[in-house]
Amino acid sequence: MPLSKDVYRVFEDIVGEKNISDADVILDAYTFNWLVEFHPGCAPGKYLQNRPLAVILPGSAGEVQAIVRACNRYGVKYKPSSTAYGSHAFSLQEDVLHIDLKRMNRIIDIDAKNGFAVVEPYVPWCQLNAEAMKVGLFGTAHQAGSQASALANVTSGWGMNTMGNHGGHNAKNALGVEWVLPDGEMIRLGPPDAWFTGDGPGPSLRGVMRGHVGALGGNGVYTKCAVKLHHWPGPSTIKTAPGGVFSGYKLAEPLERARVYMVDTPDYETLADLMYALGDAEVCYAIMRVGGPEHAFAILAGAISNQTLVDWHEAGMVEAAANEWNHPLIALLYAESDREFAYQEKVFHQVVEECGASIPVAVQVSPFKDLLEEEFAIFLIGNDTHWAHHGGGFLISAGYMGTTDSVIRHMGYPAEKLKMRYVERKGILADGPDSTYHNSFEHNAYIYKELEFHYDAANAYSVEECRRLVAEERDTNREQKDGFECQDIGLCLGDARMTIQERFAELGPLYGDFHIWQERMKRAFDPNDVADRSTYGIGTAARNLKV
Amino acid sequence: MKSAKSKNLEGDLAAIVGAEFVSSEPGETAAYGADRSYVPRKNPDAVVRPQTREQVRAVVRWANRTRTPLVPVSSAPPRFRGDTVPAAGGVVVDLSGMNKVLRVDRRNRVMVAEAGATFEDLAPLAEAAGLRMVGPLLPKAGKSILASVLEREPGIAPRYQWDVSDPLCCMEVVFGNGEFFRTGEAAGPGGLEAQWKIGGAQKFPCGPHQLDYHRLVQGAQGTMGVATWASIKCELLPSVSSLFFLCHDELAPLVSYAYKAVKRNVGEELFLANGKALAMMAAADADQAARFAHGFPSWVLVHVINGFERLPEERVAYQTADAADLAQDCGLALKKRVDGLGSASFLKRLRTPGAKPYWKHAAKGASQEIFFVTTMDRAHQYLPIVFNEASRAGYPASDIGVYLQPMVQGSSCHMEFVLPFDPEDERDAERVREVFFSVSRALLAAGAFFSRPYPAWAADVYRARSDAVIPLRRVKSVFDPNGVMNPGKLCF
Repeated sequence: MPLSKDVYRVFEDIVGEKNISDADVILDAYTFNWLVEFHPGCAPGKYLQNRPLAVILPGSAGEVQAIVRACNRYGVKYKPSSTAYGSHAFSLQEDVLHIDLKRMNRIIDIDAKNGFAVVEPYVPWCQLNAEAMKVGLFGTAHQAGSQASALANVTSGWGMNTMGNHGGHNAKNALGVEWVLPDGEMIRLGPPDAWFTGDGPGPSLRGVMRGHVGALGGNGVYTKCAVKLHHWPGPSTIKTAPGGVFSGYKLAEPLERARVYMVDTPDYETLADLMYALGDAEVCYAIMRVGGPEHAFAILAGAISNQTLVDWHEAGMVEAAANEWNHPLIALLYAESDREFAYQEKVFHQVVEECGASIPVAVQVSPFKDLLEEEFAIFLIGNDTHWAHHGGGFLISAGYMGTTDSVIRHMGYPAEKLKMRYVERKGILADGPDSTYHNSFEHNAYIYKELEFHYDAANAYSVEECRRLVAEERDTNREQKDGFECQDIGLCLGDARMTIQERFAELGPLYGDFHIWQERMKRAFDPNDVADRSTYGIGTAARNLKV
Repeated sequence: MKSAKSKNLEGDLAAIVGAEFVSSEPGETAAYGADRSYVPRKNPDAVVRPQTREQVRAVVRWANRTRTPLVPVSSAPPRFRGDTVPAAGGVVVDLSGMNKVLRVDRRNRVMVAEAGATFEDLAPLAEAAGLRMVGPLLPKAGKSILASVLEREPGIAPRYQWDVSDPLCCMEVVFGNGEFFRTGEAAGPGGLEAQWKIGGAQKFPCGPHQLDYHRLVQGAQGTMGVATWASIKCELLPSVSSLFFLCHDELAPLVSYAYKAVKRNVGEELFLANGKALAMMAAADADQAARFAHGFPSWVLVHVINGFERLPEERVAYQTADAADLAQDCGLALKKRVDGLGSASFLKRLRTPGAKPYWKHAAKGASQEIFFVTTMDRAHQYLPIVFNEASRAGYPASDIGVYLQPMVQGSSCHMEFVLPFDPEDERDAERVREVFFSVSRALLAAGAFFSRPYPAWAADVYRARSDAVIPLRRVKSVFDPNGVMNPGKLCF
């Protein structure tokens, strides 16, 4: 049901006429996003079924609070978003007011001494890091890309990032937070007048704010947040120059005391050993994978054109790499002093050798050497993920957190077999068996891994194959009791067998009835049920749960 | 003499845990009715000592049926903070009998321990596996590891603390409503052993899904439920270690050094103390504490640089050279000795959990502690507040130990004042009582953030934070709807 004129005027009075709209042309912009074709009723390439009631753009925390209070007063559901990467950023239920936080885009402060920045919701990592590097700090940009909101990443969404081996998972990088609760009350996590911590007094309400996955707008609106930053051993600005193989630019000059390595391992067991040993040695600023050689080339070529990948295949480049490499790993060494760098290099090579891994000859000479040193360094640091969307469709089967052994057990050989069956059926891109992306966190204390595949978002068969692949992967996980599914990053996508809400409901009893606990918390914090629940817990079905 | 109520409780609880594990003898209950804090004595009606998780759950369910308050306790006495003194009688759930270290996992650098396992229990097992837990500064003998991480006691190696919740990974908890729950990666499916079989290690703390349950149990002083085991992140055992003292009359240069060293990952253990506190940490007895304190400099930073499995000497060498450069930048120098205290002997003490005497009691036999969270660059602002308040009450400022522990990779800092007193001297004890409250009030008024509000501070802290009280009570209503868990603590 549309907003009544009177209620619309209430919201208009809060933000001003220019900052609210219910025009179709505006509303449609909030129905198309990455992965919408996987939602019920959305044919490939089409929009989400539900338009928001209106889109409102608050300019301050006070306006956000006033909007949320009005939502409670008039029974209007709301969904906040910031940089909104993915269909989960929009409500999947009807009659929801969309609160777009894009006007709140200020870096409030960078506390260089204590290593954190206070930001509003629409400050992307690239904006934050450009400023942070000037004072010797660096933020752990989400792997979704540096265009993503730093605040959303640490408070509301996911925590994976390429620099996690040094900087940790972003669920752990939030400090003080300003939060408009679902009922419109505003609180500060941590001290009322400072941002250096978000924990206390007493139990930390960060536990309600988010878990492994954030509340995705289902638990109020976070209006400011202190993001923990990490030491940056590099220059205050990174100078680039035109050129490079695939990104159109490259480092203008090499980074001092930094080196990107690609190390190959013959099998997943060796890969695991290598990762554990590198974690123990604490010599890597970043440890990550982009899958095997064919997948890596597909991603790299995607930045240029589809034809580039064809050209590379025809030139034999991909096949040559596939013959020499098996399960490569990318490591970034980055040191503060020459002494430290010398030690890192020595230990790194010792670990590689002892684990039975190797540095392929091809990456020790041009052009791959240049690619790693001049371009891949930017990818790691700048976290430029536009490469991933080759062919227009890019999906992950699920994202798992866990120990290296447990994740590789599940996402190694079994994932290869699964993927190749779907490659043979021609529903997804044929880019080799190993397409598992991963990041390490806290010196490989745990890792994140996802099975990636490319598909045609405008092709119904391709989309359906993806839905089947995801269903099969999830079902296999269940049968093998691998125990990751609850840690699924929850892109809120259904699969060929059921909706994501149905799947979470099925999973709940296997994981301590987490869905019931979440619903209890939801009802305690959102008594009027106005914060959008379509991407929270088991979604709208939770209203019928007996808790 | 036992009351009829106590006899009834004893009977009910004996049916759950067995008669030998429950007592309502006044002599036994009295041991839990008071601690070294200023919380008024209130003896529990009974003490129950469950031996299994199922017994813990049965006790919590019984408490819900009978609306009986439960107070979980896992560390051995003496206890200091008032959080385990029953505010409303009821039953103390003493978990010290559940003290097994269930697993030490070298490959994943993690261990799993039951609630009653102490730092002394873990250390030799971890060491045998080539690991160590980087715990709080000189934990007292009998301190439960689980209690320590639930209390968010800061570890002494800030660069390993990505989050204030570290090194806690996962835990099992019986929430106040009597339901089991395992947090983080441990949530399921299956129990510990089933997860170990597939390579799991209960390492990832977040979740499951969209809540972080561990954060809501930490800092809760037993008001949300009873934790039965926890998995704790460990680090490699150093094979070579070098401890340095950096000394100065002013705090500022040491703070500058601490920021640089922590941010750049130079060394591991790092903390700051005034001469008095360092003397207490290092001394074997009161006389030695007095001698040390007399000769020690005003401020000392303790920094340990370690080598591990790979090229350990080379690591210590390069890090020492880097540390020396940082020190020079700050007008400081790395020293291996500070007036009678050698680095090797102090390092040995630092790595001996449960060493006696407990450092805060070394000077006079007893002490009171006041601590809060701030940042290192703000710390100096609180010194005159404390010293002036103490002097006003006739307590010598020179007797006060000050301990600064950088936390969460240097983004914040635990600041602690230790007020030693002679427990045999009533006047001294009374004077410290007066100082404790006046200093606490002054610090609160100055904006000190008491993130762990133990009973002496809770009322004042929450009075000023009504914004936090309502959401915390909502959380409480979810986990402990009948309010049986440690009522009268925090804002519940």
